[in-house]
Amino acid sequence: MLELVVLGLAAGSVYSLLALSLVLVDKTSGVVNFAQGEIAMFATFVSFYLLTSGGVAALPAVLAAVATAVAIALLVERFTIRPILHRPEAHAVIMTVGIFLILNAGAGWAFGSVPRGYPTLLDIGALRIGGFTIPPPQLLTLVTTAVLCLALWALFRFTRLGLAMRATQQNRRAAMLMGVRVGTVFSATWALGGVLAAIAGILIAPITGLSPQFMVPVLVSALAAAVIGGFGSVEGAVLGGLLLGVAQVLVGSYLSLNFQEAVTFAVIIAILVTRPQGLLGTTRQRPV
Amino acid sequence: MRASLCTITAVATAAAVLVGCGVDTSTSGGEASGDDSGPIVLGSHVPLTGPLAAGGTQLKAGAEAYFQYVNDQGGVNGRMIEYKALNDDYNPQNALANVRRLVERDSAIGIVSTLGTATGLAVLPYLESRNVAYVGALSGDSRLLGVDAESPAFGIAPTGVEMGGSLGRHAVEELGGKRVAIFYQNDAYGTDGRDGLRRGVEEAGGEIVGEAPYELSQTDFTSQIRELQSARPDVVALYALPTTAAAFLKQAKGRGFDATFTADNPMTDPIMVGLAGNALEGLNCNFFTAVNGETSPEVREKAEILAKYAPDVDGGYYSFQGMAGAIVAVEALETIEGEVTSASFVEALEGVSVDPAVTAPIEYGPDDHQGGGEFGFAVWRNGRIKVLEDY
Repeated sequence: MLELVVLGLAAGSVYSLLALSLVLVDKTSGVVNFAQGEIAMFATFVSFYLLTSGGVAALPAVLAAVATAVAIALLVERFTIRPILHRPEAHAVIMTVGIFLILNAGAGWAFGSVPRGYPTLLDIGALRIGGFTIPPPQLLTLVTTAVLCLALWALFRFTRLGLAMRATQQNRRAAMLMGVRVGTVFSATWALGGVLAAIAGILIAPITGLSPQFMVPVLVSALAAAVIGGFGSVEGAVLGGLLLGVAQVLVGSYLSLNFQEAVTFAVIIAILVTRPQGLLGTTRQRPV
Repeated sequence: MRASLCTITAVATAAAVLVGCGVDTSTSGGEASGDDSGPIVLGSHVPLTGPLAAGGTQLKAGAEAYFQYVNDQGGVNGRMIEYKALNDDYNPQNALANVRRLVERDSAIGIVSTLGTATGLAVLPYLESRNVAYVGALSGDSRLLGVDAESPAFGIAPTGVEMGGSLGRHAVEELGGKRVAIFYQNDAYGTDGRDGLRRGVEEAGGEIVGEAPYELSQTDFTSQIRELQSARPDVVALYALPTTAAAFLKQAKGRGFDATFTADNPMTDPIMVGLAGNALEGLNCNFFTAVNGETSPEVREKAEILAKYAPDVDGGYYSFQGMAGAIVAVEALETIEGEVTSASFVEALEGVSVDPAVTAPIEYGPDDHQGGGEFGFAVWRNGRIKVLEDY
């Protein structure tokens, strides 16, 4: 059981990272970025080519991927999202879905659609803990997610940028009146979302293989994780991803493999029926 | 407001252009095939974007390469072949629109080398109503594989049940597996293979000790591995897509799953080397398409054609299947003495008997439109696929 929980946490960690990037962006700019997974995919491809054809070491390749994701995120935010922030939400939804399609098709054209293996970044044997085994990719995912969550907590808690982000998330108008440069905060949050998405992509690629489609199922799970945790809650996104990963493994192992996904989402629905705002989310009130 | 609407419109239009439009990739220009001096037009609908794009692009490349080769040799009875492969994005509506355009506007006399079950099932009724041949569909549905001799569908690939049956018998008779477990995709493609595996194992005197389905969207197979490991099988049979099979193998071996692994034909494709890495070692496969690196002169000749006309594509499961469809089509066209029409093409196909080399031999008849049925077996060793028994 412990082994299953640990492996479920590892699987859920990737959902948490991507869910975190979705929630951060949504909290600040009010936009659910359906193209977040494709930003991760593009960045992962960049790192793949640097690692394989370019002979570049792992760390610089990862940094280059992160820089790619940040660049794409900033371009998307500044030139397609910010101009329509005052429009109804549906406009932003259509915009990000359009960006998703463009990036997906563009990747197929630029990189080809044949799946390929992504190099393992942690070249050690599987870790044995108390009678069970954690393979290297899953171990790297767990550790990286924990470190990133800690870093984010520190950013929000101890830095001016983090304070500005929190202020903008709570009340954009008030933050503006208090001198916060809201446009800069938008850009910074989207950039941060790009960082998390890129790392999520690089962590899962060694497990799933790399293709223009590989982040699509991860995005679906990340959206589910964000909803479970409460879309307005950063901590909820992390919790939601971990719970989703563990739930999938436990349902498959003890209930049914045939209905593993269906039963898992049935559990999610049950949570939302009893707590519509998610586990850690708060009820939003808007004037009508 | 106008600026934001313009931006939205521009993004949406760009998305539609990149994703939704058909890609017309004729091998040569010319008039419709109704003109006896003009090119013979054959068509295809393939997913060139979206989740099946990897297979679709390779299938198209294989078919195009062979048609280009034939054209360079002088064509068929002096006429060039114009092969139009349109992108359907694995969307049934797009596929049907593409096929209508090919048949009605471009006068295509047959649809050759396609990929996709949902799209194939969408176009088949239309093609049946027009008696237009549908050759070499790569699909898990037997209706597209020629099981109904009244339909103009002519299959090259075996059905999933046949493929699974071959794998199951081999697992017991050659791999010594008395206890066999199955890992399979939880849809029509996977359940066909599973049903075939069950039948094959039981016919050979073995026992199915565990079954673990997975959903296409899954990336973690902890539960499936646990389920199968607890059954203590001698052999684990995989009926899955290459990316999933590779992920499963890596996760299973990473958790010390000690068994012999066997899988169906797509796992002979060279992409498995990059996808599965060291986890590929010792994986047994059956095949009805030639494996890359086979040394027989006939296969080498076809591999050279592919290398010349599609240098970016490796010989493998999808590209060789696409080529096989083209080979069968050309074989039929060469026998037509009168006017080349969709009806004469169907009639000619019913007399085809050819060994494409890149697949098992194909023989059709008025009451038999099915290909497949013969299998070879291979194993992955040190990153290379080694043929143990040819078809």
